Amino acid sequence: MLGIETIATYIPKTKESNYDLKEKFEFDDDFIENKIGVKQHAVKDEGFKSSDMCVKAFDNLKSTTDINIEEIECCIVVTQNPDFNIPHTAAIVHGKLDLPSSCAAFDISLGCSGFVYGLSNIISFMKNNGMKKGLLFTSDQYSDIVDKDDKNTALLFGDAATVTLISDDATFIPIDFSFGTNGKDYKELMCEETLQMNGRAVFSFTATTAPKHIKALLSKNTLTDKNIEKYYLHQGSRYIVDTIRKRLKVDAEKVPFDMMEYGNTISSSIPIMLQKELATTTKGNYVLSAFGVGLSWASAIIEKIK
Amino acid sequence: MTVTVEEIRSIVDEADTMAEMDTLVNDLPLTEQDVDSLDMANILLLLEEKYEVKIPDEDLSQVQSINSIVNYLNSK
Repeated sequence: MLGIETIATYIPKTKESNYDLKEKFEFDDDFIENKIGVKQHAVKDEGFKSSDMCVKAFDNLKSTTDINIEEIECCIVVTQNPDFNIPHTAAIVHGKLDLPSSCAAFDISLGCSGFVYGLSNIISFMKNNGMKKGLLFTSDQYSDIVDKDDKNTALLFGDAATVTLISDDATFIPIDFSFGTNGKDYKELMCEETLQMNGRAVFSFTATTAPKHIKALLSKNTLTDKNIEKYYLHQGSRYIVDTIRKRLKVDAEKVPFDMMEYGNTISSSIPIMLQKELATTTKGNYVLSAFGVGLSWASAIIEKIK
Repeated sequence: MTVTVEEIRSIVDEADTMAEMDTLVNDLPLTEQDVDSLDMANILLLLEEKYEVKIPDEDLSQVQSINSIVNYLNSK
Protein backbone atom coordinates (compact mmCIF):
# COMPACT_ATOMS: atom_id res chain seq x y z
CA MET A 1 0.00 0.00 0.00
CA LEU A 2 1.30 3.44 -0.91
CA GLY A 3 2.34 5.66 1.98
CA ILE A 4 5.22 7.55 3.54
CA GLU A 5 8.44 5.53 3.36
CA THR A 6 10.70 8.23 4.76
CA ILE A 7 11.20 11.99 5.06
CA ALA A 8 14.22 14.28 4.83
CA THR A 9 14.40 17.94 5.71
CA TYR A 10 16.45 21.04 5.02
CA ILE A 11 16.54 23.81 7.61
CA PRO A 12 19.13 26.50 6.81
CA LYS A 13 21.99 26.72 9.30
CA THR A 14 21.74 30.51 9.46
CA LYS A 15 19.37 31.66 12.19
CA GLU A 16 18.26 35.14 13.25
CA SER A 17 17.74 35.51 16.98
CA ASN A 18 14.40 36.91 18.08
CA TYR A 19 16.00 38.15 21.30
CA ASP A 20 17.89 40.66 19.14
CA LEU A 21 14.54 42.02 17.97
CA LYS A 22 12.72 42.23 21.29
CA GLU A 23 13.55 45.87 21.99
CA LYS A 24 12.55 46.94 18.48
CA PHE A 25 9.13 45.33 18.88
CA GLU A 26 8.83 45.77 22.69
CA PHE A 27 8.45 42.03 23.36
CA ASP A 28 9.77 40.36 26.51
CA ASP A 29 11.38 36.91 26.79
CA ASP A 30 8.15 35.33 28.04
CA PHE A 31 6.26 36.52 24.96
CA ILE A 32 9.01 35.26 22.62
CA GLU A 33 9.21 31.83 24.27
CA ASN A 34 5.70 31.13 25.48
CA LYS A 35 3.47 33.03 23.07
CA ILE A 36 5.29 33.20 19.74
CA GLY A 37 7.34 30.13 20.67
CA VAL A 38 10.27 31.00 18.42
CA LYS A 39 13.68 31.87 19.88
CA GLN A 40 15.32 32.05 16.47
CA HIS A 41 14.09 31.67 12.91
CA ALA A 42 15.90 30.00 10.01
CA VAL A 43 17.00 32.15 7.08
CA LYS A 44 18.19 30.80 3.75
CA ASP A 45 21.26 32.08 1.92
CA GLU A 46 20.82 35.22 -0.18
CA GLY A 47 19.68 34.28 -3.68
CA PHE A 48 18.60 30.78 -2.66
CA LYS A 49 15.27 29.86 -4.24
CA SER A 50 12.55 27.33 -3.51
CA SER A 51 14.05 24.74 -5.87
CA ASP A 52 17.49 25.14 -4.24
CA MET A 53 16.00 24.27 -0.86
CA CYS A 54 14.22 21.25 -2.39
CA VAL A 55 17.55 20.03 -3.77
CA LYS A 56 19.14 20.42 -0.32
CA ALA A 57 16.33 18.35 1.22
CA PHE A 58 16.79 15.71 -1.47
CA ASP A 59 20.56 15.62 -0.81
CA ASN A 60 19.72 14.83 2.82
CA LEU A 61 17.31 12.11 1.66
CA LYS A 62 20.05 10.52 -0.46
CA SER A 63 22.44 10.54 2.48
CA THR A 64 20.06 8.44 4.60
CA THR A 65 18.17 6.35 2.04
CA ASP A 66 19.19 4.08 -0.79
CA ILE A 67 17.28 5.76 -3.60
CA ASN A 68 17.45 5.14 -7.33
CA ILE A 69 16.63 8.31 -9.29
CA GLU A 70 15.50 6.24 -12.29
CA GLU A 71 12.63 4.78 -10.21
CA ILE A 72 11.05 8.18 -9.38
CA GLU A 73 7.79 8.48 -11.32
CA CYS A 74 6.29 11.58 -9.74
CA CYS A 75 7.64 14.88 -8.33
CA ILE A 76 5.30 17.35 -6.64
CA VAL A 77 6.40 20.65 -5.08
CA VAL A 78 4.14 22.42 -2.58
CA THR A 79 5.14 26.09 -2.52
CA GLN A 80 3.72 29.60 -2.67
CA ASN A 81 7.15 31.07 -3.27
CA PRO A 82 8.01 29.51 -6.63
CA ASP A 83 11.32 30.28 -8.30
CA PHE A 84 9.39 32.02 -11.10
CA ASN A 85 5.77 32.58 -12.11
CA ILE A 86 6.52 30.42 -15.12
CA PRO A 87 7.55 27.57 -15.15
CA HIS A 88 6.43 25.48 -12.20
CA THR A 89 9.13 24.86 -9.59
CA ALA A 90 8.66 21.08 -9.82
CA ALA A 91 10.05 21.22 -13.38
CA ILE A 92 13.13 23.06 -12.13
CA VAL A 93 13.60 20.53 -9.33
CA HIS A 94 13.11 17.73 -11.86
CA GLY A 95 15.93 19.18 -13.95
CA LYS A 96 18.29 19.82 -11.04
CA LEU A 97 17.84 16.27 -9.72
CA ASP A 98 18.13 14.78 -13.23
CA LEU A 99 14.89 12.84 -12.76
CA PRO A 100 13.80 10.62 -15.69
CA SER A 101 11.78 12.13 -18.54
CA SER A 102 8.93 9.72 -17.74
CA CYS A 103 8.52 11.38 -14.32
CA ALA A 104 5.41 13.58 -13.82
CA ALA A 105 6.11 16.94 -12.20
CA PHE A 106 3.76 19.66 -10.99
CA ASP A 107 3.30 22.24 -8.25
CA ILE A 108 0.60 22.64 -5.65
CA SER A 109 0.02 26.24 -4.56
CA LEU A 110 -0.91 26.03 -0.91
CA GLY A 111 0.53 27.40 2.31
CA CYS A 112 0.31 25.86 5.76
CA SER A 113 -2.24 23.20 4.79
CA GLY A 114 -0.03 22.16 1.86
CA PHE A 115 1.62 19.03 3.22
CA VAL A 116 -1.68 17.34 4.14
CA TYR A 117 -3.22 18.30 0.79
CA GLY A 118 -0.02 17.22 -0.97
CA LEU A 119 0.04 13.86 0.77
CA SER A 120 -3.49 13.07 -0.35
CA ASN A 121 -2.76 14.35 -3.86
CA ILE A 122 0.42 12.40 -4.45
CA ILE A 123 -0.95 9.13 -3.10
CA SER A 124 -4.14 9.45 -5.18
CA PHE A 125 -2.20 10.47 -8.30
CA MET A 126 0.29 7.65 -7.97
CA LYS A 127 -2.40 5.07 -7.19
CA ASN A 128 -4.52 6.09 -10.18
CA ASN A 129 -1.52 5.95 -12.50
CA GLY A 130 0.09 2.77 -11.22
CA MET A 131 3.20 4.50 -9.89
CA LYS A 132 5.46 2.97 -7.24
CA LYS A 133 7.80 5.77 -6.12
CA GLY A 134 7.23 9.52 -5.87
CA LEU A 135 8.62 12.62 -4.17
CA LEU A 136 6.52 15.20 -2.33
CA PHE A 137 8.45 18.40 -1.64
CA THR A 138 7.42 21.31 0.58
CA SER A 139 9.44 24.50 0.28
CA ASP A 140 8.86 28.12 1.24
CA GLN A 141 11.25 30.97 1.90
CA TYR A 142 9.20 33.61 3.71
CA SER A 143 12.38 35.59 4.41
CA ASP A 144 11.90 36.96 0.87
CA ILE A 145 8.38 38.30 1.57
CA VAL A 146 8.25 39.19 5.27
CA ASP A 147 8.39 42.89 6.16
CA LYS A 148 11.17 43.05 8.75
CA ASP A 149 9.39 45.98 10.44
CA ASP A 150 6.10 44.09 10.86
CA LYS A 151 5.76 42.89 14.46
CA ASN A 152 3.02 40.40 13.47
CA THR A 153 5.29 38.38 11.20
CA ALA A 154 8.97 39.39 11.52
CA LEU A 155 9.73 36.97 14.37
CA LEU A 156 7.47 34.13 13.34
CA PHE A 157 8.45 32.56 10.05
CA GLY A 158 11.45 30.39 9.16
CA ASP A 159 12.70 29.09 5.82
CA ALA A 160 12.74 25.31 5.23
CA ALA A 161 12.08 22.51 2.78
CA THR A 162 11.24 18.83 3.12
CA VAL A 163 10.97 15.83 0.84
CA THR A 164 8.74 12.85 1.53
CA LEU A 165 9.40 9.60 -0.29
CA ILE A 166 6.13 7.89 -1.18
CA SER A 167 6.32 4.19 -1.98
CA ASP A 168 4.69 0.84 -1.32
CA ASP A 169 7.34 0.18 1.36
CA ALA A 170 5.48 2.51 3.70
CA THR A 171 6.10 3.41 7.33
CA PHE A 172 2.96 5.57 7.53
CA ILE A 173 -0.18 4.74 5.54
CA PRO A 174 -3.15 7.07 5.11
CA ILE A 175 -6.42 6.25 6.84
CA ASP A 176 -8.55 9.29 5.98
CA PHE A 177 -8.33 12.93 4.94
CA SER A 178 -10.61 15.95 5.31
CA PHE A 179 -10.31 19.43 3.83
CA GLY A 180 -11.89 22.87 4.07
CA THR A 181 -11.73 26.40 2.69
CA ASN A 182 -13.07 29.83 3.60
CA GLY A 183 -12.21 31.85 0.53
CA LYS A 184 -14.25 34.87 1.64
CA ASP A 185 -11.56 35.74 4.19
CA TYR A 186 -8.53 35.31 1.93
CA LYS A 187 -7.40 38.88 2.65
CA GLU A 188 -6.66 38.06 6.30
CA LEU A 189 -3.37 36.45 5.24
CA MET A 190 -1.96 37.45 1.90
CA CYS A 191 1.07 38.78 0.06
CA GLU A 192 0.99 41.45 -2.62
CA GLU A 193 4.45 42.94 -2.09
CA THR A 194 5.05 41.82 1.49
CA LEU A 195 3.20 39.38 3.72
CA GLN A 196 0.24 40.88 5.59
CA MET A 197 -1.49 38.99 8.39
CA ASN A 198 -4.50 39.97 10.49
CA GLY A 199 -3.32 38.13 13.59
CA ARG A 200 -6.64 38.27 15.42
CA ALA A 201 -8.62 36.98 12.43
CA VAL A 202 -6.18 34.14 11.76
CA PHE A 203 -6.17 33.20 15.45
CA SER A 204 -9.98 33.15 15.65
CA PHE A 205 -10.24 31.11 12.44
CA THR A 206 -7.73 28.54 13.64
CA ALA A 207 -8.97 28.26 17.21
CA THR A 208 -12.55 27.69 16.07
CA THR A 209 -11.94 25.60 12.95
CA ALA A 210 -9.08 23.21 13.71
CA PRO A 211 -10.42 21.52 16.89
CA LYS A 212 -13.86 20.95 15.34
CA HIS A 213 -12.30 19.63 12.14
CA ILE A 214 -10.11 17.15 14.01
CA LYS A 215 -12.98 15.98 16.22
CA ALA A 216 -15.24 15.48 13.18
CA LEU A 217 -12.57 13.44 11.38
CA LEU A 218 -12.04 11.22 14.43
CA SER A 219 -15.78 10.77 14.85
CA LYS A 220 -16.21 9.87 11.16
CA ASN A 221 -13.64 7.11 11.64
CA THR A 222 -15.14 6.00 14.99
CA LEU A 223 -11.92 6.92 16.78
CA THR A 224 -11.40 8.79 20.05
CA ASP A 225 -8.41 10.40 21.70
CA LYS A 226 -7.54 7.00 23.22
CA ASN A 227 -6.88 5.67 19.70
CA ILE A 228 -4.43 8.48 18.81
CA GLU A 229 -0.71 8.36 19.62
CA LYS A 230 0.03 11.99 18.77
CA TYR A 231 -1.45 15.05 17.13
CA TYR A 232 0.94 16.76 14.70
CA LEU A 233 -0.48 20.26 14.39
CA HIS A 234 0.88 22.89 12.02
CA GLN A 235 3.31 24.94 14.09
CA GLY A 236 1.65 28.33 13.61
CA SER A 237 2.86 29.68 16.96
CA ARG A 238 3.12 28.31 20.47
CA TYR A 239 -0.05 30.15 21.44
CA ILE A 240 -2.11 28.66 18.64
CA VAL A 241 -0.79 25.12 19.20
CA ASP A 242 -1.58 25.44 22.93
CA THR A 243 -5.03 26.88 22.19
CA ILE A 244 -5.98 24.04 19.84
CA ARG A 245 -4.67 21.46 22.32
CA LYS A 246 -6.71 22.98 25.17
CA ARG A 247 -9.83 23.08 23.02
CA LEU A 248 -9.28 19.46 22.00
CA LYS A 249 -8.80 18.61 25.70
CA VAL A 250 -5.84 16.32 25.03
CA ASP A 251 -2.65 15.84 27.05
CA ALA A 252 0.26 18.15 26.26
CA GLU A 253 2.64 15.22 25.67
CA LYS A 254 0.47 14.06 22.76
CA VAL A 255 0.85 17.38 20.94
CA PRO A 256 4.50 17.98 19.99
CA PHE A 257 5.81 21.54 19.88
CA ASP A 258 8.97 21.85 17.81
CA MET A 259 9.34 25.28 16.17
CA MET A 260 11.34 27.04 18.89
CA GLU A 261 14.70 26.89 17.11
CA TYR A 262 13.63 27.53 13.48
CA GLY A 263 10.17 29.14 13.30
CA ASN A 264 6.92 28.59 11.45
CA THR A 265 8.02 26.81 8.28
CA ILE A 266 4.61 26.82 6.52
CA SER A 267 3.92 23.50 4.73
CA SER A 268 7.19 22.03 6.06
CA SER A 269 6.20 22.19 9.73
CA ILE A 270 4.38 18.84 9.88
CA PRO A 271 6.88 16.76 7.84
CA ILE A 272 9.76 18.20 9.94
CA MET A 273 8.09 16.77 13.06
CA LEU A 274 6.96 13.57 11.35
CA GLN A 275 10.53 12.87 10.24
CA LYS A 276 11.50 12.63 13.91
CA GLU A 277 8.66 10.19 14.53
CA LEU A 278 10.03 7.82 11.88
CA ALA A 279 12.82 6.83 14.26
CA THR A 280 10.45 5.72 17.02
CA THR A 281 8.92 2.29 17.33
CA THR A 282 5.47 3.41 18.37
CA LYS A 283 2.91 1.98 15.98
CA GLY A 284 -0.60 3.41 15.88
CA ASN A 285 -2.72 6.28 14.62
CA TYR A 286 -1.49 9.84 14.24
CA VAL A 287 -3.47 12.97 13.47
CA LEU A 288 -2.10 15.65 11.15
CA SER A 289 -3.87 19.01 11.04
CA ALA A 290 -2.87 22.23 9.35
CA PHE A 291 -4.52 25.59 8.72
CA GLY A 292 -3.60 28.94 7.24
CA VAL A 293 -3.53 31.00 4.07
CA GLY A 294 -6.65 30.69 1.94
CA LEU A 295 -8.11 30.43 4.43
CA SER A 296 -7.49 26.72 4.09
CA TRP A 297 -7.36 23.74 6.39
CA ALA A 298 -6.70 20.03 6.10
CA SER A 299 -6.54 17.14 8.53
CA ALA A 300 -5.56 13.50 8.16
CA ILE A 301 -5.32 10.32 10.14
CA ILE A 302 -2.30 8.22 9.25
CA GLU A 303 -1.19 4.90 10.73
CA LYS A 304 2.38 3.98 11.58
CA ILE A 305 2.70 0.34 10.60
CA LYS A 306 6.38 -0.25 11.35
CA MET B 1 -28.81 40.68 26.86
CA THR B 2 -27.61 41.56 30.38
CA VAL B 3 -23.92 40.96 30.84
CA THR B 4 -22.28 41.36 34.23
CA VAL B 5 -18.79 42.33 35.36
CA GLU B 6 -18.46 38.94 37.05
CA GLU B 7 -19.15 37.13 33.79
CA ILE B 8 -16.48 39.09 31.94
CA ARG B 9 -13.95 38.58 34.73
CA SER B 10 -14.69 34.87 34.54
CA ILE B 11 -13.94 34.88 30.79
CA VAL B 12 -10.66 36.76 31.34
CA ASP B 13 -9.78 34.13 33.94
CA GLU B 14 -10.69 31.34 31.50
CA ALA B 15 -8.31 32.86 28.91
CA ASP B 16 -5.45 32.00 31.29
CA THR B 17 -3.58 35.28 30.89
CA MET B 18 -0.62 36.53 32.92
CA ALA B 19 -2.93 39.05 34.63
CA GLU B 20 -3.55 38.62 38.38
CA MET B 21 -7.29 38.25 38.76
CA ASP B 22 -7.17 39.43 42.39
CA THR B 23 -5.76 42.79 41.41
CA LEU B 24 -7.33 43.20 37.97
CA VAL B 25 -9.05 46.59 37.78
CA ASN B 26 -12.35 46.85 35.92
CA ASP B 27 -11.92 50.30 34.44
CA LEU B 28 -8.36 50.05 33.09
CA PRO B 29 -7.51 48.61 29.67
CA LEU B 30 -6.67 44.92 29.98
CA THR B 31 -3.55 45.44 27.87
CA GLU B 32 -2.22 47.70 30.64
CA GLN B 33 -2.68 44.86 33.15
CA ASP B 34 -0.47 42.06 31.77
CA VAL B 35 -2.92 40.96 29.08
CA ASP B 36 -0.94 40.80 25.82
CA SER B 37 -2.23 41.00 22.26
CA LEU B 38 -2.61 37.23 21.86
CA ASP B 39 -4.50 36.91 25.14
CA MET B 40 -6.71 39.79 24.01
CA ALA B 41 -7.50 37.98 20.76
CA ASN B 42 -8.41 34.90 22.79
CA ILE B 43 -10.63 36.90 25.20
CA LEU B 44 -12.47 38.49 22.26
CA LEU B 45 -13.01 35.07 20.70
CA LEU B 46 -14.36 33.67 23.97
CA LEU B 47 -16.72 36.67 24.22
CA GLU B 48 -17.92 36.15 20.64
CA GLU B 49 -18.56 32.47 21.29
CA LYS B 50 -20.29 32.92 24.66
CA TYR B 51 -22.53 35.82 23.65
CA GLU B 52 -22.91 34.84 19.96
CA VAL B 53 -21.89 38.28 18.76
CA LYS B 54 -19.35 39.47 16.21
CA ILE B 55 -16.93 42.08 17.52
CA PRO B 56 -15.46 43.68 14.37
CA ASP B 57 -11.96 45.18 14.35
CA GLU B 58 -13.54 48.64 14.03
CA ASP B 59 -15.08 48.21 17.50
CA LEU B 60 -11.88 47.19 19.29
CA SER B 61 -11.49 50.61 20.94
CA GLN B 62 -14.84 49.97 22.66
CA VAL B 63 -13.78 46.69 24.31
CA GLN B 64 -10.54 47.52 26.09
CA SER B 65 -11.50 47.25 29.77
CA ILE B 66 -13.84 44.93 31.66
CA ASN B 67 -16.32 47.76 32.19
CA SER B 68 -16.21 48.82 28.55
CA ILE B 69 -16.75 45.20 27.45
CA VAL B 70 -19.79 44.97 29.72
CA ASN B 71 -21.19 48.23 28.31
CA TYR B 72 -20.45 47.19 24.73
CA LEU B 73 -22.14 43.81 25.04
CA ASN B 74 -25.14 45.23 26.89
CA SER B 75 -25.67 47.68 24.06
CA LYS B 76 -25.98 44.83 21.56
